[in-house]
Amino acid sequence: MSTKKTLLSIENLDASIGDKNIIKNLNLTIHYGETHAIMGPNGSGKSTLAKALAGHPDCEITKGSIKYKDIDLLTLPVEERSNEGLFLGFQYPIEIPGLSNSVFLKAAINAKNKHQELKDVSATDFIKELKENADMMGINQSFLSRGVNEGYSGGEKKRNEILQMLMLKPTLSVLDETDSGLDIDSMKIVSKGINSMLGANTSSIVITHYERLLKYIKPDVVHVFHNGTIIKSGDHMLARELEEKGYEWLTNE
Amino acid sequence: MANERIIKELVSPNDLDYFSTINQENSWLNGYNKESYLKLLERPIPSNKKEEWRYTKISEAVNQFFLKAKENKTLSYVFDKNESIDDDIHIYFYNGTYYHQGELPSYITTLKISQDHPYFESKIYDDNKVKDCLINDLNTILLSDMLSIETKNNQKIDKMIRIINLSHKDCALSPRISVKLASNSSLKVFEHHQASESSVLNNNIDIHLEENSTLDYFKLIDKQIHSHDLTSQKINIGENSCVNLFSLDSGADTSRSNIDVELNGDNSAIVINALFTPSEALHSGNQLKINHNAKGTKSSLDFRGILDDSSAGVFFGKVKVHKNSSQTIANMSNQNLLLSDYAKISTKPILEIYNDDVECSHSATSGNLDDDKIFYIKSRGIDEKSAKMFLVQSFAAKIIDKIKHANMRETFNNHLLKSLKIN
Ligand SMILES: Nc1ncnc2c1ncn2[C@@H]1O[C@H](COP(=O)(O)OP(=O)(O)OP(=O)(O)O)[C@@H](O)[C@H]1O
Ligand SMILES: [Mg+2]
Repeated sequence: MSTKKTLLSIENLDASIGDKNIIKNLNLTIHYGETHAIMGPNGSGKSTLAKALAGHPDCEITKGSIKYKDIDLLTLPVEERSNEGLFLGFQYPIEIPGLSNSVFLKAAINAKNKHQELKDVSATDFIKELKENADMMGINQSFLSRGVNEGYSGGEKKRNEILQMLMLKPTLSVLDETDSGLDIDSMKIVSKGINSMLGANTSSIVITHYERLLKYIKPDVVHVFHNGTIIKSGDHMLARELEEKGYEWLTNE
Repeated sequence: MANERIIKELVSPNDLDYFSTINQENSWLNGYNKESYLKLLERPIPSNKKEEWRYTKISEAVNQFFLKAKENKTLSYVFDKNESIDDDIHIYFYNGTYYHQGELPSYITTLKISQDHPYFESKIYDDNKVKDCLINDLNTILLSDMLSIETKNNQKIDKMIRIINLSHKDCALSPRISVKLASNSSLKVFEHHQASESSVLNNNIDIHLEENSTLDYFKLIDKQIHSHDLTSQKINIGENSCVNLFSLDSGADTSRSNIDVELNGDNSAIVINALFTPSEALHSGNQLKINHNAKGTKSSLDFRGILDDSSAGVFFGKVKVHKNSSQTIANMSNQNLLLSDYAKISTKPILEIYNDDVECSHSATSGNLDDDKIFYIKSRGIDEKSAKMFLVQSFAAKIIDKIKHANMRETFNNHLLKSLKIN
């Protein structure tokens, strides 16, 4: 195997919310082109890791470092992390009544363009691309002028997260339980969206509770998260094992 | 109340004498004005301990009103060529007088206090019979000219009538607007108060609809500088008629709007959608009194406040459903967004219901910008300032998007954007 280029490297990370230390001495390296799945019991700190990567203000880094594309990620404000190609698919997407999806997305794309010293996206290009991606995600045109996630069902919100991801074309996408609450067809649609984005120059962290998703999205590595850190890593066979045996055999050791 | 002061105590005796002489010059108004004048002097200035008047510097406004009235100048307005850029009808109010270019259509009249005595007098008598409030009395005591719009039966007027209160400086003015819709007619009015400085505007608006008529009334108050903008608006609605009111108020030292609505005809309706956006140390106060006096009447009040810096807002809404008003629908909502820790809001929606066959709701909420929403927007690459701007706009959009008239929607939206300065 040739030496692969590193996209993300987390070293000895401790992170807390409020007074509670949640991420404990975490180490994780992700190369360009890789998909990593993170599984683990409720409350083990998976979403907290996602928040730490995106720069959520509640999440305080007390130790360690995160390097992303050779930048010290922890020094970047939230919006710049996004503009540098980091995307967080929320476990619980937020509703913003009154702010239309398309206005929001266009502003997001233009913010990124500006960051890269590119011109604003043209209205026709934007609409064309939005329509294509919305079609792929099975999102009706009428949703695009509605408020962001306003009155969407759980599954629709998740598909909308993937639509945003497709429009923003991130280098690293962190998808927090994007498969939760999806019916079988939505699961296929969402997987298709995720797969369409993966390539040699992009990477993904997929947080999930179900092996089902991993049948569609073949992860290169599967990690088990417990008590704020990775306690075991393996290939996708590990996911199958977890599906059968649960976590106890690992956490009781 | 024991501690309430009356007007007489606020104005120096010399000034009071001076104003009574002015009144006597308008001899035709004498009889009436004297009565009103004397009544006014005994009128209590409401204490701002009262919920209805909280954060409202009404005594300062009254004080300034008399002070500025003494300084009133005799400036008149000079038109630039081609002032009207559209097909609408433009009427300008400047220094106590209404102006317009060319001929006005027959349904609009401007009445001069110095000339149109009998008509004026009868109007004032009619108005004042039903009004009993401080702002109204102040208006009568030092009247400016009057604008009267009266449709005929079956007259549907498509053109927007724009009434523009031009910027004033060091003035105390009391414009009066009377709008009457005969049966089966429709009308659209846009009233704009441009930014004034060190002035007191004491507005009196009277609206009356016969049956089967529709009035769309848009009101925009720019941010006023060291000024007071008081309005007393009385609306009477007849059978199957409807008034749609939209307003955006950016605040003044005192910006006070009293709206009294009488739903007199069966199936009459009032819809009010309003934004108030005071910043700095400015104020915006809204007092509404809605009376459902007939069957099948509808009222829908949606007020949204966006308060920045150390500004203060008031919402006081009282909806009363009388005994014989079955099948009434009444909805009242006041939501407020506080953009600073120093901004204040007092909100009180009251429903008084004396009939069982009604559908009523009321709600009031106040809060700050939601941190989770800000984070979500920022996580998509948008900077904090724009994120906040989006949230404020989305909050206001719930009002603005209800404006069906495309031109007006744009006007209101532009003014909103101008009035917001998010840090
Ligand atoms: N704002 C907060 N205040 C206090 N505790 C918090 C906060 N956010 C998260 N926690 C705690 O941190 C721990 C980790 O939560 P996190 O959401 O990261 O778990 P998770 O692995 O994503 O769980 P799930 O699988 O249920 O989504 C939990 O014990 C949770 O209660
Ligand atoms: Mg989680």
